[in-house]
Amino acid sequence: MARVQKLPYLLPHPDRVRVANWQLVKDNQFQPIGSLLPEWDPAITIRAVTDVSIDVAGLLQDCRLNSDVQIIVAAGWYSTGTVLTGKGSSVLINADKEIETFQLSLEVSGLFLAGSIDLRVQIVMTDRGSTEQPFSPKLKGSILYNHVQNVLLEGDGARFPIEVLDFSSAGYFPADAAWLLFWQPDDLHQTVLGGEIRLYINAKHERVRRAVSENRPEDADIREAIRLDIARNLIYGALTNPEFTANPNAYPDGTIGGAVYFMLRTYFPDIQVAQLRSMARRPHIFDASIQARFNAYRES
Amino acid sequence: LLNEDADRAAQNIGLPGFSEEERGTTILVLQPHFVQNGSETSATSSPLYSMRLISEYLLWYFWPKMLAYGSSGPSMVFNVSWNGEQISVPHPTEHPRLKGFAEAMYRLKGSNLNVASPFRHTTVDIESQRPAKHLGRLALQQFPVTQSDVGGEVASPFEHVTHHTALMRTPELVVKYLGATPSPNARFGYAGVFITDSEVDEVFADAEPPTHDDWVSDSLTDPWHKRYVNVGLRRITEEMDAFAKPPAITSDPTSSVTPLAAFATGLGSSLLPAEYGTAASLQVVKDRFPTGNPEPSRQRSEDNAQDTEIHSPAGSSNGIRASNREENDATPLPPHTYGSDSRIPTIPITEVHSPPTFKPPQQAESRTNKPVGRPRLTVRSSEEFLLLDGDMPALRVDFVVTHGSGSVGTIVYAAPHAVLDGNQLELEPPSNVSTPEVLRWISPTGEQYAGSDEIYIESSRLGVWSVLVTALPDIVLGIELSAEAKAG
Repeated sequence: MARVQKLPYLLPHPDRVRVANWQLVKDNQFQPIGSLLPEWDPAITIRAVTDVSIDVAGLLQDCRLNSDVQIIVAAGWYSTGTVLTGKGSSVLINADKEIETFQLSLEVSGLFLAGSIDLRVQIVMTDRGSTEQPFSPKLKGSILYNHVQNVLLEGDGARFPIEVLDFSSAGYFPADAAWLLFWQPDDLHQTVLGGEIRLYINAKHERVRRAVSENRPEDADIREAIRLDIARNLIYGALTNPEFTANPNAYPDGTIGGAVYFMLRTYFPDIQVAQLRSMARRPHIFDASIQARFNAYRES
Repeated sequence: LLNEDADRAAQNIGLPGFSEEERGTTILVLQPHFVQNGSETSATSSPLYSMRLISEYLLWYFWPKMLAYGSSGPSMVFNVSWNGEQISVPHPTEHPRLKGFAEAMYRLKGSNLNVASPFRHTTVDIESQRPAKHLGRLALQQFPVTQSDVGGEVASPFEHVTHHTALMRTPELVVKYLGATPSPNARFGYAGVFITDSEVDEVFADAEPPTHDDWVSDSLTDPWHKRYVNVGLRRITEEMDAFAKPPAITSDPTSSVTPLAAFATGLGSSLLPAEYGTAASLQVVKDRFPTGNPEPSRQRSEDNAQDTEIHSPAGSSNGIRASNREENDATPLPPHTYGSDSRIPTIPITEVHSPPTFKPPQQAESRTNKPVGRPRLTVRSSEEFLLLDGDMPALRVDFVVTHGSGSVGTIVYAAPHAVLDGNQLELEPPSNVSTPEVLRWISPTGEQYAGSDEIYIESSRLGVWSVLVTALPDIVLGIELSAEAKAG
């Protein structure tokens, strides 16, 4: 069975409108938004702009509308995960012009989003004017054009468990430390994403907190130091666990042992675990090997 | 034997007596048989082993009596010896499991406080609401769990006491160790001390069985007293469970949320590449769009009149094609080219035939029993509004039929409906409203056939057919087209 669905009025040819790829605005910088935003989380507010160019005369002709029509072009969003929708900026189109170009923007708090977001540009008629042509749009609110850019916000990509915490209120955490990797190297059967491994960032340590949350280029070395520290912790922890070194590939997917084994195979594909354990007995050299294998402190 | 007779008999069998001010009890076990947990190995059945075990159990029940508060000494002193050899009874503050309990006791007493301790602690009142009664005070103390020898060679009762509260009444002898949720990090345990309020001490004493090692409300008769014991134990457990939760719980929920996704995703892809998380990933996109094109609507161009099996515009619920083209910028549009004919197409009144119908062969024996293949109907995405017979608003939909193998023709059915919210077809329209109908069929060679829900197309009549349906104002029109093969 085939199905056709049609609005009861004429629409403009799609080439009458051009919508540029949406751009993310961050610190007054623009970066194109692709089909996914892996760095998004609910604490991130999406600010985006796009440029729209409309062949107004062609659009009116396609829809059999006169120049006394009122139409607006508007930005909006819809989130599949929350089923919430909202509007961005909108502009009234000057129907006397042949071609109009606008910049539209929208801002949406991450708390309203989940799953994915549709970034929309719509052209909507708000007054039909004097046209009496058959098949011309008649009702206020008739949507003449709809452009959707779908951006995936959440999926199942790897994300290291991190939490910002005031160490002074966390009991045994050293109150002035910058970060702490919470895990139990003697039990590598625990799950990675079940909270058994977590990087705590000291909320009171402003520099480090800023480095991990604002992603500024000038803080890259701090982030790199943390990455390397976690890698060292995990590697040394696993290599000093006799159960792990005796049978490193016995840990199922999703366990800390499985994750560390996969990491070792990724960064030390040519060295067996038993050999790595021997290397770890000379930490001053092995540390340098870890730096080298993890491409530490190099330009990304 | 009583009084002086008893004293004399005790002296004769070697029991130490009491000085004038002393009070107490001396117990003698004649010819003890030392067996540990039913196993009578040489190690566990030795008297020395048993004496060490006695030392552990002294601690188990009496450690509060070994603590000293302020300038006063401990209220009891314990000595264990075997054939003149002293058996060590460690001080609670030096015992790997009891030091947490000792610290909790100090918290409760407000004495000997270790202000520099980095470990969490809390002291709370345990109360009953209805009836309102103060039942006692509870102190909880976090402590590091070390795997160092607990009890040395002796199978110590303290081995697993890492998430327990010592329950005691005002005499401060341990009744039992109440366990609750273990700490999520096995490297840290917690120890609690609960001492009943003197006003309800008698109630809890009455709840103890003869062995004095539990509080059982069933043994009480007064319903309020039962409630004191039940509520007390439940509240203690609740406090312990709350204390055991990971430190993340103590973070300030009112503080602003810190965006960590970028860093977490970077770390995840670098250090946990095989793990799943919540970041948007390419893999997910690939799975979601098996064709490898993450934006399916990009494939379709409005003016590309390709054959399409089903024409339902992506990303749109109302029939507007949702374009999703990626362009680096909205480059100015080229000068528009208007269609040479901007008028609405019109089909003038012309001769209309009755639609052909399928006529099965008269002779049953002439029919073939060969199976026929399924026909395929493809709609062309070039539907068009027009005025039929000069003034009737209509929508023309073009389609092509690929006849099933072995068939002599195909019946095509057209079902026009209004479309409701959620893209559902309105199958039962309200009465007294206009509903869309099939107005006309047009053959590839231009013959027109009157409106009917179906038309029979012989397999020899190839080409693009059209169906015209009423274009009603203000409804979204949905047309379902289906095909049925006919055997000869």
